[in-house]
Amino acid sequence: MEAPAIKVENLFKEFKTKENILQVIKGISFELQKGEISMLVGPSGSGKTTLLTMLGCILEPTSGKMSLSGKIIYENKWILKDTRKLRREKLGFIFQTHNLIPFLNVEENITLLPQLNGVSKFEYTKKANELLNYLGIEDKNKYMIGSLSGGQSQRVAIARSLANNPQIILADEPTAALDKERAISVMELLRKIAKEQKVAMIVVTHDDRLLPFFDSVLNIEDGHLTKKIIKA
Amino acid sequence: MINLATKDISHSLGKFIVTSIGVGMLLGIVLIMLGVYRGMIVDAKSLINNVNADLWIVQEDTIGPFAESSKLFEDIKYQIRGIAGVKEATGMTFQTLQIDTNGKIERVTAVGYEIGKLGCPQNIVQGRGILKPNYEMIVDKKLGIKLGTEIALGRNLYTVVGITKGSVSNSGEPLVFLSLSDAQELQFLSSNNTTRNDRLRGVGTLNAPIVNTIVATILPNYDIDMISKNIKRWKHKNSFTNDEQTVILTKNVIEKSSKQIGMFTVILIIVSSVIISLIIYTMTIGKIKEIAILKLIGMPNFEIVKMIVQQSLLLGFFAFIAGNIFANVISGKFPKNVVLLWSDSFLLFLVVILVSVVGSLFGIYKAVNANPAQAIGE
Repeated sequence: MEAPAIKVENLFKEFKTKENILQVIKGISFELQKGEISMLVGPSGSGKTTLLTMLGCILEPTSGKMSLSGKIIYENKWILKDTRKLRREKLGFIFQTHNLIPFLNVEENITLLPQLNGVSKFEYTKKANELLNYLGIEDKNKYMIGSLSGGQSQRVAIARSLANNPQIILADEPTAALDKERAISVMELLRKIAKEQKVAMIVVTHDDRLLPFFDSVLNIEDGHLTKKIIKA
Repeated sequence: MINLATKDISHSLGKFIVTSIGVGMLLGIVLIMLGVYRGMIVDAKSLINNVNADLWIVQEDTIGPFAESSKLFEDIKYQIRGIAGVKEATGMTFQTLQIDTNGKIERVTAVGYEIGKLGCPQNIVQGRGILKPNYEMIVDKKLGIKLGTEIALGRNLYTVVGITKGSVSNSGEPLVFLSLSDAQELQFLSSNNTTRNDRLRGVGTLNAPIVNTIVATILPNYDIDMISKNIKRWKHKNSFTNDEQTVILTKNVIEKSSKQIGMFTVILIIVSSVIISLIIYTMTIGKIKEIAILKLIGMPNFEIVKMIVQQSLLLGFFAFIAGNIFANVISGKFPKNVVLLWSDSFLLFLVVILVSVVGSLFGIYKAVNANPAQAIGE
């Protein structure tokens, strides 16, 4: 049986303050298969962002275990010391606002990570063109970010998150800044990517109307997480 | 790998150019200050170099004729000429005057010299030297006086027969040259009323001509220091070699002024350094969100530090170029001599590079400590 794209076991995160210890994540366990797209929901202050930053290897958990495609990356401490390299090579990020680099053009934004990963110019240019074609913005490759619409920018951000062939994409409210029509279009695209590229995705969203696009829901409340499969 | 520094600069090129010009003007002022300092030293040596004497003989117990006043009888020159090894000895006078140039009063230093002897103006660019013993003068181009102009000095009118370029006194005032006899009359001849009053007081009229200094050249193979010592001992005059006179002028006469300029320059360099550091810091802080995103998607610190340092160095470099252009354009507009040296420019370049690197450290600190999680949850 193929290893899950991401597996989290008994993950804890505590923040120490002067007066006491604040437990934000309280023993979370779940796993996502390759190509599975999951909705992460929860009220404000429930620990969504903390969980997302831990899954993104930005924030170190207090204890627990995390694996990517069967390879342990955290077990009570980081197994791979260079978490930035891990993010560069294995993870993709999509944000609420596109968070693209304004002084780079579309192609440069997309090819930045492959260039850092030592991919040849021929390879990364080819990959960028493929992604732009795939996302329907092939004519925008030399455009500066400021000249794109909100929907186009978010597509470029999606292309950037895919440029390093990630195993998991973490998306933080990627449709929040878009109107309903564009939000649905982006969600369709994310689902298509997840299925076709076999990438696991965790998407934070508060929009229940987007539920049909997800395979599962990760519901976090007061640091506890429950997973509900909605599509077999 | 994409060069993030040049990409960011080209994205906001106008802002970068304006900032570079602004910092450049500040650096230009630093160069001008250094130029003023250099100019003071050049000016101080200018007159000495023009005279090109081996010895300066002045009144006993004085360090004249520039640092202190000095008077001695002109005929001393005959005694000096009689000393073994002295090739030539001639009297000279130096006097500060105010002259009327087309309705504008200018302060000048009048140099009196014996025609055809030491002290003749070396850099005549228009006209000729003084040929007649009376009523001819040579002026410096800086005064803007044309050949043939008649200028009133004392009781007489003098015709401008020659124009020099770059002839200035140790204090930067333009020089005018007169024959020694004219200069002596101008400096020492009393008016009729004063002479009458002096006679009534019982003060005798001084008939022997007076000069401020006697300058001498020495034949080859003679020891200048020894001759100078002999003059001090046996002629009861003070005597300085050309080098000693240069030291008196550069150390004693302009030392305080040059220290003042030096202090201003140091303060200006410190102020420029602080401003450059602040600009670089602000440039980095302005990109802190982009830096957080870059860190989040996995860009190593090295690439981020490289971007900040490259931008700092580019800003410093272009500001330095702008500063040099600015300094060279405006240096000629200053009333005093401004001497811009490539060595000073190079020194400033090294300072700018150092300041750019040090100034970027604050920005680097902020960038390295930027939390990548900033990019999430906005």
